[in-house]
Amino acid sequence: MIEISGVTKRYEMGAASVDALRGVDLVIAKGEAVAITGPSGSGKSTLMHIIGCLDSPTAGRYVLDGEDVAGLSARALADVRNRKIGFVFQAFHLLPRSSVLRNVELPLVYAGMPRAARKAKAESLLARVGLSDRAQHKPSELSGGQRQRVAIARALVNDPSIVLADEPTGNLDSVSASEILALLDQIHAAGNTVITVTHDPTVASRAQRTIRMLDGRVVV
Amino acid sequence: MALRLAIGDGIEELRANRLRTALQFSGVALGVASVITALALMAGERAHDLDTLEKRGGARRLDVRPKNAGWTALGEDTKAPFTLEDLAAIRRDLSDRIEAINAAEVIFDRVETERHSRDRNVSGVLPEYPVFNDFYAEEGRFLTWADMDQASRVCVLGWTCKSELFGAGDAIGRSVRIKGEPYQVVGVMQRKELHWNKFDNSNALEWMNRLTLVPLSTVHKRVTGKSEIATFQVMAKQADDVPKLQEALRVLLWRRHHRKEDFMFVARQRQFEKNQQAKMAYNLVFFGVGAISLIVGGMVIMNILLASLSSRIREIGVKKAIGAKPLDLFVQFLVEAVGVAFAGSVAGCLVGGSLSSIVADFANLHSALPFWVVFTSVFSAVFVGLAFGIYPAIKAARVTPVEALRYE
Repeated sequence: MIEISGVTKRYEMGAASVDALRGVDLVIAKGEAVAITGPSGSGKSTLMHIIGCLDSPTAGRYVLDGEDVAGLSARALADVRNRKIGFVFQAFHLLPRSSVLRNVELPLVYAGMPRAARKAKAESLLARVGLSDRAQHKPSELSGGQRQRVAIARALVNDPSIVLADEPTGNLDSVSASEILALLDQIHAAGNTVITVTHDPTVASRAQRTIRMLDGRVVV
Repeated sequence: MALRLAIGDGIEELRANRLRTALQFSGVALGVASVITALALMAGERAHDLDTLEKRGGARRLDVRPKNAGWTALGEDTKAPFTLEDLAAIRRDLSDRIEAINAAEVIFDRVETERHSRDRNVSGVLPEYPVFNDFYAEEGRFLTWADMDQASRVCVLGWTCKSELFGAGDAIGRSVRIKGEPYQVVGVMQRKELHWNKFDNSNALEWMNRLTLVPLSTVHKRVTGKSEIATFQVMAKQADDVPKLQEALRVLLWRRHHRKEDFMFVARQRQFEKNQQAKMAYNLVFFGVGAISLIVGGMVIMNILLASLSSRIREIGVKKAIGAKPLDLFVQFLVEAVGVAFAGSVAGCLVGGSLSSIVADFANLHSALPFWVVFTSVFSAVFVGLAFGIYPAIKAARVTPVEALRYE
């Protein structure tokens, strides 16, 4: 459950300042599939960063699962991200020197889970995205679609309340892209909240609800 | 906190970037090598000086001099204050605490045989003279108290003196003339040799080989006609007895000198400490040079960590996005700095250890590697790693996930 009210974000750039968000009110219920769209510069990435607790709003309230997270410290936000949010990025962002299995289990390491339990958990997630046989490979040995499936496994490994996907198909060919979108649909069908940031109408059309951003405000 | 992960990541990062790590490693290794070379030479020289002091009975030695020697004001009594009777009284009253006593009167004169003639330093000394200089008769015998009592015309020749006057032949029992008077040779001293370094042919102790030693009483009675002694030296049996012995001597001499304290004491132990203080200035310079190279090593670490920060910022962002806390990144960077500093210091110890013994060999210095030297060097290197790693570590910890993920 996401409740955002009156959220603004201002970036100071020397003397000038940029208002990326100019007062956003938004409620996303648990289990919803939402797409956030809008042209570049509309503030959709900034909104995603705030929803994902990667950044704090300049003003306004953000309550995530009943917890006010707007004014938390960097350390506390890291903990919220670790427990409640799974990220899927356009550029995959896997750690290149670690194995696929290691990449998937990393959030559990930061969560402090014992070694045997986190290995079992990571392996079950890899099985779910169909990459059990690649557990010991390095990310560079996988195709783009496979890498994104690893990233999805990593996003799901600590049972987050939100999966945030930022242009998840932006770097993929159409075949891989439809595989990934099908996987995200499956994740939603299993009861997860899935928020996808995209400017691709076909990706946005798969969501139950589309939130359109323009000039730092929600327009629909 | 995922401490083990942060440590593992730090080590992994060092292994993955061989060239970067090698540069940091070499910087610290060279710094530690300089520090350890300086410290090892300092420690070795001090140990050697102490050893020399010990060999010469230095810690047990007490010199007795007239007060204000060299500062005689006009009209003041300039007569040397001691006599052979003073020394006899000391030997009689303090024999259980004194190992040896010596006084010397140097005259410069011609020493001749029928064939050869040399201008030589002739010294009147006491029979216990050898103890003070670790300088003994090799052939025949040294002077005795019987020679002293009779003011005998006997002499002991230095090694060079003997060769010049008698060649390879036997000198014992032969006769030489000093001041025109015949003296019987009763002994020849051992040969003394000391070279400051490998490339120096001159013998620093050659002056000892050129000595001619005669009884002090003989010089008094037959040459100078005086009976005063300018200074004398006492060797205590126990080094820790020196202060008390000095007090006993003070009382004894004060009584014999009509309750006048016209003498003073110089303990070799204190002179040694003064010497060491003088050397300390040089030591500090050497150590300073070593310390500076170690700091330069620290700067190499910091520089490389800061430069690598931008190429690793994406990775930092990903880790933060999935739950790494600022402290996790801080520890990872610090582990890299301290880890490479520690590894470099171990290599530096090996290099510095060998370097110090090579330098010592060439420059005729002495080196030693006591535990404290190794410990100090490794400890300072780890400290330098910490000190220069903290700033990059703080920067890594403070990177916000948004700027890190946006970075292209």
